[in-house]
Amino acid sequence: MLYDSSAPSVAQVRSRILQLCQKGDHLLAYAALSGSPYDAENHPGLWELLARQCEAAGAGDLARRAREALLSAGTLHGGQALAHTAYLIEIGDFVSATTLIEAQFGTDPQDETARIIYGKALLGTDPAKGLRLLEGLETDDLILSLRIVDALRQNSRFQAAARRLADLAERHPGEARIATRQARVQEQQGGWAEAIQSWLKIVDEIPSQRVPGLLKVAFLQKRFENTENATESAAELLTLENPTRSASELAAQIELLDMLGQERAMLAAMHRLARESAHGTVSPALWEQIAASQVDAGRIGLVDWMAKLGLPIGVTAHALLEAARDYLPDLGRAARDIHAAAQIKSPEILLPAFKAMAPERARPVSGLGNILLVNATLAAGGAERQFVMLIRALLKSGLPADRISVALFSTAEERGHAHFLSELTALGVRIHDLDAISDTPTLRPEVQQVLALLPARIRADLLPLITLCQSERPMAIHGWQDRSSVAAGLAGLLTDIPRIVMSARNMEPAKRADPNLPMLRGLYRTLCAMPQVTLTVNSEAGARGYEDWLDLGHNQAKVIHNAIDGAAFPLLPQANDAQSAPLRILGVFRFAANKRPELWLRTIAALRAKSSRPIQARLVGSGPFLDRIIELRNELGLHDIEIAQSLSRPDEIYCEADVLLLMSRVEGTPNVVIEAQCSGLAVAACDVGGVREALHDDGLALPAEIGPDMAADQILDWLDTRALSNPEVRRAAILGKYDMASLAMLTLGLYGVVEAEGEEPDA
Amino acid sequence: MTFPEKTVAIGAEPNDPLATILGCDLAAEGWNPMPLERAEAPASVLFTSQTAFLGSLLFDLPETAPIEIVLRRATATQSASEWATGLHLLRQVLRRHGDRPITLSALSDTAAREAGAILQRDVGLRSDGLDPEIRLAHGVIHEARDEIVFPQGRMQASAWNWARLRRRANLNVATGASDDLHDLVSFMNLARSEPEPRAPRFLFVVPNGVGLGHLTRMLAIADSLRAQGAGEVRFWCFSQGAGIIQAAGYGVHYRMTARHLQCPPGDWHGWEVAALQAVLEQLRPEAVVLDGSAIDLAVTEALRGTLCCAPELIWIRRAMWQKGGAAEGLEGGQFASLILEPGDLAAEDDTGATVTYKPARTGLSKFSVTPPVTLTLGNTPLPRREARRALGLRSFTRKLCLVSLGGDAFSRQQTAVEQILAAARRANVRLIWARSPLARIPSDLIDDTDMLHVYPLGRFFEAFDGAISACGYNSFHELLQNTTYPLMFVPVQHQKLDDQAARARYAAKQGWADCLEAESPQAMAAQLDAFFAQFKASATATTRPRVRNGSVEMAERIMALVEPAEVLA
Repeated sequence: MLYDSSAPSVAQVRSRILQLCQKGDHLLAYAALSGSPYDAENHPGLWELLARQCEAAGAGDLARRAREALLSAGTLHGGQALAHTAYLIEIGDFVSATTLIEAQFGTDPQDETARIIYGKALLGTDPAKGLRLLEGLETDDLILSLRIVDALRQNSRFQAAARRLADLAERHPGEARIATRQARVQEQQGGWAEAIQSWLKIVDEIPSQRVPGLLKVAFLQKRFENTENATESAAELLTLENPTRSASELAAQIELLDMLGQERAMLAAMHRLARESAHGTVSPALWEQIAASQVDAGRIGLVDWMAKLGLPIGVTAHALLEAARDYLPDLGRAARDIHAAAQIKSPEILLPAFKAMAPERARPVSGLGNILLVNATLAAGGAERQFVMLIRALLKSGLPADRISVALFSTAEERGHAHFLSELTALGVRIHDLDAISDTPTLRPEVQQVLALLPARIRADLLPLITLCQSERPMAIHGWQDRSSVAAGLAGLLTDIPRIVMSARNMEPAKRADPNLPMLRGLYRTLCAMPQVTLTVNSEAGARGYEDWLDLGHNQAKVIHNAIDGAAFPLLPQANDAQSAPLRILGVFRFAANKRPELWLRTIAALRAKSSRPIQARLVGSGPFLDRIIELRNELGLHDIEIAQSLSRPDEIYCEADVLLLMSRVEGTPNVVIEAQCSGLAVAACDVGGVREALHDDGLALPAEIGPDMAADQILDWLDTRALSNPEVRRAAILGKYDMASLAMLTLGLYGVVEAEGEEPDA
Repeated sequence: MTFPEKTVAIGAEPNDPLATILGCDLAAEGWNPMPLERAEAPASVLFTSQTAFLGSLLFDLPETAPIEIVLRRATATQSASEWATGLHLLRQVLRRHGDRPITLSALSDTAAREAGAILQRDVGLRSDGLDPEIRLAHGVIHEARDEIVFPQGRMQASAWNWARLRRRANLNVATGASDDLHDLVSFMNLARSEPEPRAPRFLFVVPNGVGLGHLTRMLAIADSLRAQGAGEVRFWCFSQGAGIIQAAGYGVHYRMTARHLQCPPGDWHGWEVAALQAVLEQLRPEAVVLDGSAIDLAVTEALRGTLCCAPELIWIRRAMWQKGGAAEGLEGGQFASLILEPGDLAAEDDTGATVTYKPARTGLSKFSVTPPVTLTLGNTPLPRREARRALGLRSFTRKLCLVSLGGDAFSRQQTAVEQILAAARRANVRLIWARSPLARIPSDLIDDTDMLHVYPLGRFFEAFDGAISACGYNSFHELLQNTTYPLMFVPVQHQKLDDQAARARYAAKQGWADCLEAESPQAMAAQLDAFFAQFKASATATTRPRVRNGSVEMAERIMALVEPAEVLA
């Protein structure tokens, strides 16, 4: 810079700044420095001085401007860099905050303040890393503490989150943000009953949280299949006294109707809201909220209807509609009919696009590639156990472990998703947690467009799986259960995997109450029509059910039975037939509504009342109904019934039992029935799904709809005649039907491994 | 107009057929039905389904009025469990509204029993005291196809508002239909109370035609209807000639098309439907009469409005369409109860779609052709002297020729205009140019003193010694039937217009008039010279047809349709 004798000196400007700041004229101080010849690049000290003075006086905006000048000049350092990072975090710009602080302090700041601020920034960009920096931090900063809790939740570390929340609740009693998080953590840990109680307390005590609280209560009660309570909470939300009719309240009411399956009522409400919008009485924010949730639910036609009415659905929804234009049917005059519009849904509108991507014929395979198996989780369920069994069978048949990869949507232990994880890990196959894959796949723009239009749930499953497929390049992908099958099918299609196997594990999909299933039907059908895709089901009844549901030809769904490892389920000691000896009844099932635990307990109570022989009972399982089961057990005076959770060793589960009793309303192929019979137990079970197919000849198939008294009568008749004889015959029949070698050979055939290599898979 | 004092607010799902039926019944019973969102302090509130009621909970309900909810069974888009959950929710809501007078009703015994079991409340029957009624048409509704099949034709199930459909038809339900449709159809088949008789009201929809053909024809029919005892006839008019209608003594709602407003058609459609529905709700006409080559979907959608009662839709549809032109507009026939075709004297040579195209769906529409329709009221030809005086034509030294080539003829038919001017000069004939009220572009070729600005023109025909005219429906029929002097038709070819050339050629073939259709200017000049030569000879045509005016017959048929429905028993 040239020396200008007429300009004030640095010292003069510094004095001027201080003088003006002392008088409180910070704006004039800023103007004085801006108007001086001393820029932030060459005289950062002056700008830092100004920033500090402004910050100290609460003139945050001017302080920020001064720091921005330093940042632009590349001279923002130290405390001012920290202050600016804090500002960026405050406005939610975590990426810039992380970048700035890493540039100044590196990725492992030693300065304590910098470390905390870095941790805060990372919570928004890399929560796991942020947690490592902040988890041990004791802080009075409530917002920071809550952000740590959120990061813990995001990383499925619910116990740590709950502990931290309990501590916070003591220090900040009545704080809504803590209470709502506590309830959410309870729900995430599977403690639905506890969560409901927490939400009800919130509804009573925190007026501002009444609406989201009631919505949550109704939602959880519905998951409990407790229609009475769910509708009671819903009614309370719909008939709030002195409603504010705020955007969030109306959005919650609409979400509630949707959640309860009241689509027509929801459409009636939206139609009227749209009419009232014309008079300017409805907040634009509401439409943006509604559009976002409808997009996530795949109701593209409804969003298009809103757009056609000129409702302010927001930039994101408009951009999505623009992308959807090629896939939206021309409804003509029906475009203004909300019911017709609501029928236009994703993924249905995308099916032609997926169809067009199918190859004319299946590509030949070399037989030497890898296999990618996909399942949602490794929770404690029969389907998950069979998933592990399939991998065990494949390995036993000679397929090397390094050719098998397993992808799981979640392996979160605290969500109960890792029940079989150690067992699977011990098998030596590669395991990928899709939840941890954040890289986005590389896709052609037109494919990206199609994926953007998928319902949120399907899209969220698909993107990491595609990324994995692109890096693994397997020769076959195999999805297990409906959700994973469809995701695997689509990922296989989009990444050109030569063989796709979808394995359904259920019965009568058309009758199942799963609200997500209808969304999968079109995709299933479209995939099944492709030459590289095979659908398998694990029972004859299941296969016919899927063929009916998907309008497939007879035998288009292949039957591959489950398998049982005879060595893992040895024949257990014989029952004592003596009338004086107690009859030992075992229940093994997930504690959920469709297993009818209440009917099971009441049947035991009826058996005790009617049987001359002492009845012992034991329950093995876990699930959201645990509290209710304990409550009912005590109410029925069945205090002696042992309830064992988290058992996984067969000898622990099936020991000391004569009869397995299963009263489910819905079943696929019930593994417990197969396992129990293999262990020598007799089985009585309600005749639903694949129960009859899994029962040995001497088993008892109870009517699907039956009361406890009649069930007890039939069980006692059956026990009198034939039930407890011939455990060896029973075991032999089961081992013959549910054979591991057959499971492996049939499956390898579908992958193309056997086809390519002859009868002997490579070793 | 006075409104009944008792207002009933109706809460319904969009396009619920039951809402139109009950809205119509309530109006017949002397209530003033209003949409829930517009009703202020109603005397009572009727929800036509539990879903409509549940959806309305997001809004403030009228505070004290008693409420009735009609409980419906599951629709095609509802599973049994969704339906049951809806009723469980309703039960909880009713429990919370314990102090409100809320009554429940259903359309069928089964619906009352099943819903009552879940709600644990008494449910009345809407059908109590109503007997089945046998009507003329019997159809079968196929829910999955959204279609009703009658022996005489098929229609979309939503083509007619069901209050109107109920006037004409009994329905059966094809297999596989939802429970709600069964109930709805059973209820629809029951007899209803008829409103107090009154002079029927009409709403005439006039499209924005190229000329004044639609407007003139509709005025003629409106005049005849009035003469036959109709009540109010109001016009919903897109034509820029709306002032003519107003001058004739009719109420007019002047409308603009999307093109005029330069707005997106979708937006326009929405505004149009809402505005038309508001007028229909207020006027409650017995019929909407529409003249045009297609039925605008805004009209059909508006007619399905909950509170429009049951207006018939009558389609006045002229024939003689240009050969090979778009025919899909004819599919709109299913929306109409009656399609009336004003006869055309050149019908023998009609090769257009109305003769050749068979629409897939014709519904319950009846088709009928009447004699040609022309405007008579205020259009009766004056004696020659009187006509000339009225027009201020005092010169008798030269023969006078009327030239009427339609709106903006000077810009579209420059050559013909120049040739006519030259030929008239040669024959010493004075040309009097009729300027259409819709014409926007003046011509430098014509002296303003020779320009006529009158409507209707028919009463001044006798002022002239001959006429050269475009060959639109009205000019053709009015001139042929009301004159004997030399006539020459100059057909205008326009994609939106009828087949004027076929009409003009037919007239020439019959010897009724000349047709100016020469290929070269020389040939045109020769044709015009020959035409003007007839003026000197004071030639008189004797073979021109004379038929009665079809507007009277049209009005008779319309009045017959809106009489109380034809019921067998």
